[in-house]
Amino acid sequence: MNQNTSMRKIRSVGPLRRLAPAALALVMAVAYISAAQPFAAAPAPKQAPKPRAVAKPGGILRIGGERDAADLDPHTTRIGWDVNIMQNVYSGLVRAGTDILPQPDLATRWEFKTPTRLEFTLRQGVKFHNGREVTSEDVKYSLERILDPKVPAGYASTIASIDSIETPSKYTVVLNLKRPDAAIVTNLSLPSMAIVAKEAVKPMPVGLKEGMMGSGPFMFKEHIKGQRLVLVKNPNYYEKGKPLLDELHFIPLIDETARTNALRAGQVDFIEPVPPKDVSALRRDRRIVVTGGPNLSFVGISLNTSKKPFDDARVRRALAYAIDRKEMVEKAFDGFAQPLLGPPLIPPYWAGNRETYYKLDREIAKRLLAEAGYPDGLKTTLRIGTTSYHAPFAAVVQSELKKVGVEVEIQASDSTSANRAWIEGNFEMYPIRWWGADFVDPDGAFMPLFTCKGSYNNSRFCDPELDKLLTKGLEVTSTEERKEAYRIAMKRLAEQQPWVFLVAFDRFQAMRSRVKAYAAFPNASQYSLREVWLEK
Amino acid sequence: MTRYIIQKLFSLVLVLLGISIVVFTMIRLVPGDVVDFLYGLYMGSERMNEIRALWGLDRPLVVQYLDWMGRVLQLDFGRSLVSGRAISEEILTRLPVTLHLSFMAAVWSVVFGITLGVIASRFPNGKIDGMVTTIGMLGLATPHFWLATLLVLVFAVYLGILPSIGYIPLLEDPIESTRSLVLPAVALGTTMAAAVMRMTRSAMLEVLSHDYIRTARAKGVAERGVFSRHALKNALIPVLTLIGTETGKLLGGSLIIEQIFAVPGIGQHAVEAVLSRDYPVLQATMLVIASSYVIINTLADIGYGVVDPRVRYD
Repeated sequence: MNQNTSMRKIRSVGPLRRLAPAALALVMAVAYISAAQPFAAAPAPKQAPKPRAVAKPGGILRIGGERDAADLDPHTTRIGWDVNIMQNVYSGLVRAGTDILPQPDLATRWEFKTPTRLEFTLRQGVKFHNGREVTSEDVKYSLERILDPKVPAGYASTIASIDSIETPSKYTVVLNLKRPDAAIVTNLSLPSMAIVAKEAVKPMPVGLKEGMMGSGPFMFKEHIKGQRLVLVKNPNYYEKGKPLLDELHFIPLIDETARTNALRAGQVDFIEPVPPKDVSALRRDRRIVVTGGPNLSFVGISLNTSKKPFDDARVRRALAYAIDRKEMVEKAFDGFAQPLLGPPLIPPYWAGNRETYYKLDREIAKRLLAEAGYPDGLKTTLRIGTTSYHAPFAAVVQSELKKVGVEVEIQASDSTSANRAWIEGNFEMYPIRWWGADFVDPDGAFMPLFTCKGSYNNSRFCDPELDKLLTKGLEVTSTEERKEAYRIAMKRLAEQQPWVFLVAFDRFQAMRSRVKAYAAFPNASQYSLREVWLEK
Repeated sequence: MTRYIIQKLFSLVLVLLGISIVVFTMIRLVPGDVVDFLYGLYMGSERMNEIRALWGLDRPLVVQYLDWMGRVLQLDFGRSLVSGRAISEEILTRLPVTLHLSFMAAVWSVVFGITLGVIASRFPNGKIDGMVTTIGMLGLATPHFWLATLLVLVFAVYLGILPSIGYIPLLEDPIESTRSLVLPAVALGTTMAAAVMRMTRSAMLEVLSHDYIRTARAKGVAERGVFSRHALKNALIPVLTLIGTETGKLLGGSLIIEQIFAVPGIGQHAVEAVLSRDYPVLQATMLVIASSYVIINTLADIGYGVVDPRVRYD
């Protein structure tokens, strides 16, 4: 399974989106048991997949990760690695699929009764690991805990539109919203929206940090600090036949090289993420398979639109024409990134598209600059911090813009000072990486960054037209309508260019070849661990 | 002697107090706090300030320091802001691992360093001496993180005879435990081995030029006896001091070695705390590492007086 086939699989899930979710679960369950490559099999049942090998249950998967588990409380943690672990233990109302659209998890159905009244129907008979049934009261308790000001829940803002929660029956939950918010369903698929059992929660500051107890495919066994965190199979998981593995061991390998070497020495079976510098070497190793690809995080230059020269959209667009993305990918990201020639959302993400609005054309860039009143070019500054890609990134920007007569002075400082300058508006250009995996809905990235009152609108950009288009994405509720709304909004965003969008990051996983059925998610989720099995 | 030890202990307390202030202020000078790390960029600054208030990070630094110090004096290090775990419990499980690793590294480097040093001094300026001196220079000049990666590549990835990561407690399985620490201990102890070797060699050469060695040879003592009974014993005094300070340095070196070999010691814990700006954890680990260093040095000073009868602490 190389990178291409895994990405093809991710895209091919698309057509299934509108099928009854229960059918999807059934088809996938059957497919996983009968075939090694479930995602290829699921969307096209007519063409029966060639049975390569039969999935065998059992075994231990040793996973080398970038750090030790720190905060085990699913509601408070913001550390990616903790999220990777706990999503195997907890279930949510919904769960992101490989295209990051919400799929049924504890909820089998959901429906907007009115634009501000959202009803979820829960799956019956799902048990917490302590044997108690999961009910609507648990959902209410969990969501209220996330919104509790005394609990530092990192993602609380994504469901802040919830006004009140009703539980008309044991298996029905109703969310009353303060305003229309179509993004809330996708936001509820964040792993941090885990449904927890009240009896497992201790008073803060301990909360749920001492152990994990959910209703997911694996159960918490032990955490030997600094050595490994062990999860064991939940024999009563509601999806029959899953998980296949007996145990998951999460082993902290903080040093990047140590992580790669441990995989090559066979001391772990799987590592994530793979340091980009090691991808080529690992691909050459026949005992190892590398998967992964475009990720939801993107990098661009935030432009200060409140000051000259970037208050003029023509100047901002000139920059988008002037920077060679290929040069940027090669020199600043070692070739492991995707060029962005328009707004930042690209497939396999459901709301992404590959429409290109820009190409490398220095003549157009020069003409736009001349039209804006800078026929002889201009001088500007680029602030950077100590983030690893910043220095090579700045060098590429400087040399590329020089070719169209824009002189860039690089102002380097430590990352926190640079970030503060960005927030306070003491900058002209600032490179930013937006970690899209945290925001599974396009609303999460665009509202704060690019609307007039957005909390991270440090480009100080205000376009009432774009605000209107983005709000539309929250008011319509069907996926197709939302997708269209964001396509139009992105077109407007591309024309306005408050940021020069440059690249989307790649993220890789590597595993011993005996690890089967792993699928990469563009938001770095590890949901497929419940489907993974080991060849003996 | 007793008075000396009491004096030493008193200065130990002062040193630790100083360290606690330095550590406390230094990590707060580093831009970005734990709330920035955990919730930065995506959470509104108002909400972040609420969380700071929740954790008492909005109080004046002096108040925060006195509050922390007051609890440390009652041996309560508090809880980690990130993991919510009791810090003293965490340190008690991790410190023995670091001490085990440092002990193995120290034993290896002392045995290796003294042996080679004596051999080199037996044949000064000859071929063997040249070789040993070169090894010593290389050992001093090689950064241990580089050597560590090299050792992993050779012995774990290519030859596959030693584990590249992990730690098994000594009591669980002594053989596997030793195997799991061979590579980290070798990588960690190389600098110390080289230093001990060079010190042994030069001390031996110095002692061998003394009159009493000539006398010993003149009265017919065998060369082996001259070396082991007369020369080595005296040459070891400066070597012992060196071993004391170098062993202290091992604790610092283990910070990096523990990352590379995934050894769950206190160094690994400290690095994670630095990365996440987990103030209470970092303060506690630094205090523990610094005290270990100071205690080891104090022990070396006292040991010095025991070995060398001319040194008296009155």
